[in-house]
This record gives sequence, C-alpha cells and structure tokens, in this order.
Amino acid sequence: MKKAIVAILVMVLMLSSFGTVAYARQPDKAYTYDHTGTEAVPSSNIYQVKLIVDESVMGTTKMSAPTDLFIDKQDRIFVLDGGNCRVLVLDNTYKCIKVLEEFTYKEEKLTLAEGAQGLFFRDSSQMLYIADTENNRVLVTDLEGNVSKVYEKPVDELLDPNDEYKPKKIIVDNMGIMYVTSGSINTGALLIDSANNFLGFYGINKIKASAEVLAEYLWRSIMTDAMKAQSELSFQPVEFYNIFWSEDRFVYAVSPINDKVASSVVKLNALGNDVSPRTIEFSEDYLKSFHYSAAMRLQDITVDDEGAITLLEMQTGRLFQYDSECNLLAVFGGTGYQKGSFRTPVSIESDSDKNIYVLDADKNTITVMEQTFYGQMIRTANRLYNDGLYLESIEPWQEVLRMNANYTQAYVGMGKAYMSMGEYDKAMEYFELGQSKSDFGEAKAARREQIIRNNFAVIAIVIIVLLLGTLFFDQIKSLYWRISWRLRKK
Amino acid sequence: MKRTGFDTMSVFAYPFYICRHPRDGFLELKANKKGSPLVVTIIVALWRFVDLFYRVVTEFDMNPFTDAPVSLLRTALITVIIFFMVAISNWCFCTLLDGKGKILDICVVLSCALVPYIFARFITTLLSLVMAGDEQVFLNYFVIITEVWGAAIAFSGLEEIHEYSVPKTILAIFLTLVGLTIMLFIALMLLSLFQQLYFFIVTVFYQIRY
Repeated sequence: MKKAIVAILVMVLMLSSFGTVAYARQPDKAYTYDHTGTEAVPSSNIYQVKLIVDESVMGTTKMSAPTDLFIDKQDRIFVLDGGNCRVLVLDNTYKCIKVLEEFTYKEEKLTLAEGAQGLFFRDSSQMLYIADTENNRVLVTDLEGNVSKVYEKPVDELLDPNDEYKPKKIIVDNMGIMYVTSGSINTGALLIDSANNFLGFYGINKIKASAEVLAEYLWRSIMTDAMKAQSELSFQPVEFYNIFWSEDRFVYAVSPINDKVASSVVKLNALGNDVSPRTIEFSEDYLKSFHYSAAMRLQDITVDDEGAITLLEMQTGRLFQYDSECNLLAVFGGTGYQKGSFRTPVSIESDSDKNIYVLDADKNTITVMEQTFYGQMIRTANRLYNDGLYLESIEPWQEVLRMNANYTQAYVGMGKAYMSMGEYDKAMEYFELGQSKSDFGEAKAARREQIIRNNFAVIAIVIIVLLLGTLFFDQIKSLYWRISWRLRKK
Repeated sequence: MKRTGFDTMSVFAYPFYICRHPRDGFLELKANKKGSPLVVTIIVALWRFVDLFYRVVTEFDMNPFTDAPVSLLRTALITVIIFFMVAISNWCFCTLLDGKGKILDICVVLSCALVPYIFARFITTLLSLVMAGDEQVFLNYFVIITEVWGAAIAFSGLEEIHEYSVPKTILAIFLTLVGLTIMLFIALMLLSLFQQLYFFIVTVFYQIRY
C-alpha cells in the first residue's frame, strides 16, 4: 500500500514538472542603447516571426544561395536565386507564381551565370532589372523572360577599361536611369541611362577627416611626383555594399563600418549629397556591450513607406531599425538556427504592411517578420512626435513605457506632451527621466515665466519696496532713530 | 603703514578682509599672528560642504554630475589630497628655498584663497534654481572670475608670507606641483605595497588555519 502511494506521488511530481508551458520566445532579445549611446539596455521586441517561407511554402524546388530580394508595390516578392541561376516571383501569399530560368533576347537563349547579385523591379514599366554579375552585364526583362535590353560595360573616358565590370546591386529611378554598384569601382555608383551611356558617378563615399588623413594630405603636398607615384594612398573611399531606392526619391546606401568612413548609412538626394537627419554611428562599444568580436558588415538597407530605416548586419544577423529621423527603435535578430535568427542573411525588404522579409543564403529561406503591438506603438508614437503632435502622442508613449520602461525617447515624448499642456513640473520630471538637459532647461524657463506671470503683482510690489528702501535708506534710518529717541525720552 | 583696525579684528573676520586687501592683510597677519587653525578648518569644511551642496541641490539641466553618485569618502579624500598635500608640499620646498612662512601661514593663505570660490558656488547654486538653459553661462563666468581671484590671493599671499620675489614665487609654485606628484606617486606605491602585504598575511593565515 505504502509503495503504491509513493509511486503515485512520484508520478504526480513527474507529470507536474513536464506540464510547464513552453514559451515561444525569440532567440535573441531586442535591445536599444541608453542616452550615452554606448550601453545596451534590453527592450521589448518590435518584430516577431510570422512565417518562414521555404520551398514547401513556395511550391518550388529548394533555393540555393539566394542573393537578393525585391518587393514591388503590389507586394509581389522577387527572389534572385543566385545558386540556381533563376528568379522566383511570389505572390502575397508566398506561393511561387513564376520561375524565370531561361531568357530570350533577339531569338537567342540567355541564362544567368551562377552568383548573380542584384535585382530590381520597375513598377512603371513592369520590367525586371537583373545584375548578372559574373557575365558582366545587366539584363532587362519582362516577367515572361523576354529580354528587351542587355547592358554591358559602358564605354567612357572616366571608366578605366582595365577595371572589370561586376554589377552587384542595381536600382532604377523614375527617369529610367540605372544606379549600378560594381565590385571594383569605389568612386560611387555608376549612373547609366537607358541607351547605356555613362552619365557619371553618384554619391561618392566621403572619408572621415581624421588626424591621420590630414597628416597624409600634408605629407603628400610636399612630396615630389616620383615619391607620390611610389607611395600608395592609404585612405581611399570604399564602395557601397548596397543601395536602396525609396518612394520619396531618395537613395539610401550602406557601406562598411570602419573609422575611415564618415558615415556608413547615407540618404542621398538627386545630387548625391548626404541629407540624412542624423548620422547613424556604430561605435566599438556597441559590439563590446554584447560580446561580439566580429567586425560589423552592413549588408542591406530597406526603408518602408513611413520612412523607417531597417539595416541588416550580416556578421551577427542583427536588424537595426530606425525611425525617419534616424532614432534607434530597437536592435533585434541574431545568429542561430532558430526561427527569428539567421545564418547568412543577405537581403532585407519591407512590404506595404511594414512586414520585414529577410533572405537567408545559408538556410535558403525567407523569414517574414511582422510588427508586434509594441513595435506598432513605438512607430506611431515616434511618427506623431516627429510631426510635432505631442498631445496626440501621449497615449502611444504611455503604452510604450508600460511595455519597455528603458526607452528614454518615450520619456522625452511624454515631457513634450506635458509641456505643450502647460504642466511644466511634470514635463521637467519626464525630461529628467529622458536625460534631455536642453528640454529640461526649456521647461524650467517656461515654468519660471508662468510663476512670474501668475504672481506679477506681488513680485512688482516687493521690487518697488526694495528700490525705494535703498534710495531713501538714510532718511528711513534717521527717522527710525528720531522716533526711538522720542520714545525713550518719554 | 596705514592702520586698518586689523589688530582689533576678530579671527573670524580677517579672511574677508584678506580677500579684499590680500597684500596688507597678509602683512598684518604675520605681524599680529592672527592665523587660527580653527578658521582654516572651518573654511575647508565649508569648501567641501559647498561643493556637495552644488552637486546635490543643482537641478538636472545644470548639474554635470547626474550620472555619478555623490561619495562622501571621495569628497573627504579630495580635501586631504588637494588642500593639505598642497600645503605640505609647499612648506617642504619653501623651507629649502629660505621661505619665512610657517605651515600654519601657508594653510591660512590657501584657505583665504578659497573664500571667494565658496561664496560664488553658494550663490550660483541658489541662482541655478531660478535660471534656465543658456543662462548657465553667466553663472559659469561668475565662478571662473572668483577662481582667478582666489588664485591671485594665493599667489600674493605666498609671496608675502615667504618674503619672495615674483619669479621665486612662480618657481616655488612649480616645485609645489612637482612635489605633489611625487607625494601622490609614493602614496600609490605604499598603497599597493600594503595591499600585497595584506594579501600575504591573509594567505598565510588561511594556510595555517586550514
């Protein structure tokens, strides 16, 4: 009997321990940086995995080392399957509706070479631009595989004929002008018009003005020509890793992160000048605080219709998302085999629902990530804040703070809202939590003005009395003595 | 020499007189032996208090120490290191350089040099509760002016009590700074040596015990 009871108890214990709930947590927690920009602080996730799109979802054969992803205005997804030399077209339910493997050009069969790098779909002409890297050409084709144009290397005095033409990433603007990055050319993207004329270089990557650069400049200014020919320039601009054409006609580009590059993420206008509202910086501390030793490599950039920038960092599989003013929203993702982490992420795109698609060349999958409630709130709040609608932003900021008390920008947003309501004490409290000294000072000045305005009569009377007192000090003193003398006499 | 009533002045009043008339003040100080260790201690304590007051009371927008916690131990150490080590270092070199000042005189000079700064810090800290944002610049100017004033008092005071010429005072001040670094170096070395000795004894203790 006793043995039976013990056995039952043991069974119950074992069952209860097996019955724990399994949480579907993301492998790496999201994080942001504190107000100093160096310490990482945990954050809630702004994105969660919606679906992993692999060959069974698409209904095709397995991809092999895919290289690029593009999403058009109708949310069709174009995948450049570099290893299999084909282009897959998926509809918005992620079913493969077209496979482009063979192309015809003037009754001639064309195929892509293995490892084609870039893909762009131009909505206005419904044409697909493929950077056929190893064949040194760009193909323009419709969705039936009929190639209308083949662009080889343009001939121009500015282009060194010895440089090999390796088109990697390509975008096309509204005028039909192609912006092509080529592996060996570090003077910016090549601007090529539809007649294959070379128009110039676009958006050369600026070198950071450091002491070493200045020293080299000084030395070279006193060198003879023979010496100059011998010594090599140690500071050269680096090529763009990736470029992105956004709906608001700006070109976003990413380049390697190192101390020689002035800015790794640039927003270029039509002249090729950087107009980003704030420089996005990646310091060494960023890596140290999360124990990463590998050098960072920004692989791709995408900007959604709200202007939010998402960067893909390849070595650690992380995604950095910024709002349109380049304020960091969160860093998420990571390396690994689990859902929501990546092995070799190569390309990133976003669709009209603000979902993010990450193409993994090692897993041969597309990870579809959707915004969490926190992500929606933080975006709404930041959008309202950037538009100056502080009062409207108070509710989303409260939601953000309820889910993530570490987000300092939310405190600043709350403070601005209270400031526009005229509640300066509360605003000061929030600005202190948000570590914003300048905003705190403004709130303090406004509070001072409010106090003076409300108590003007009292303050004015005190000042007048003090002024009169100092002016007639001697008279008052003698009057006092005379009165006290009289009193004593009595 | 004109009479200023200095000989009848209270020991608590002379620092204020010296701030306004450093040369006459220090001359009479030597002549009348008005140097009081009590007053020196009070001024140094006030100096520390005002700095703490500044760190604690100043509001967020003008407080440069919002990230660092206030440490009483560190504050006390700063007092010892900056004030008394400077005094000792100066005394060491000036006795070698035929200075006439005693250690108490040096302490009095240094403490009198602190008086304007103490006042300025106290006033600016109170004003910072009212002023906002960019107006901080005015407060900073005020403090810097009193710091320069304090330096002038210290310079003329040292010149007076040691009965030095100006170049010799400059030399003495330079040597004082050198002495300060030497003292800090020795202090650090002693600290690490004693730490090693301590760990040695602790290790021996544990070896014997277990």
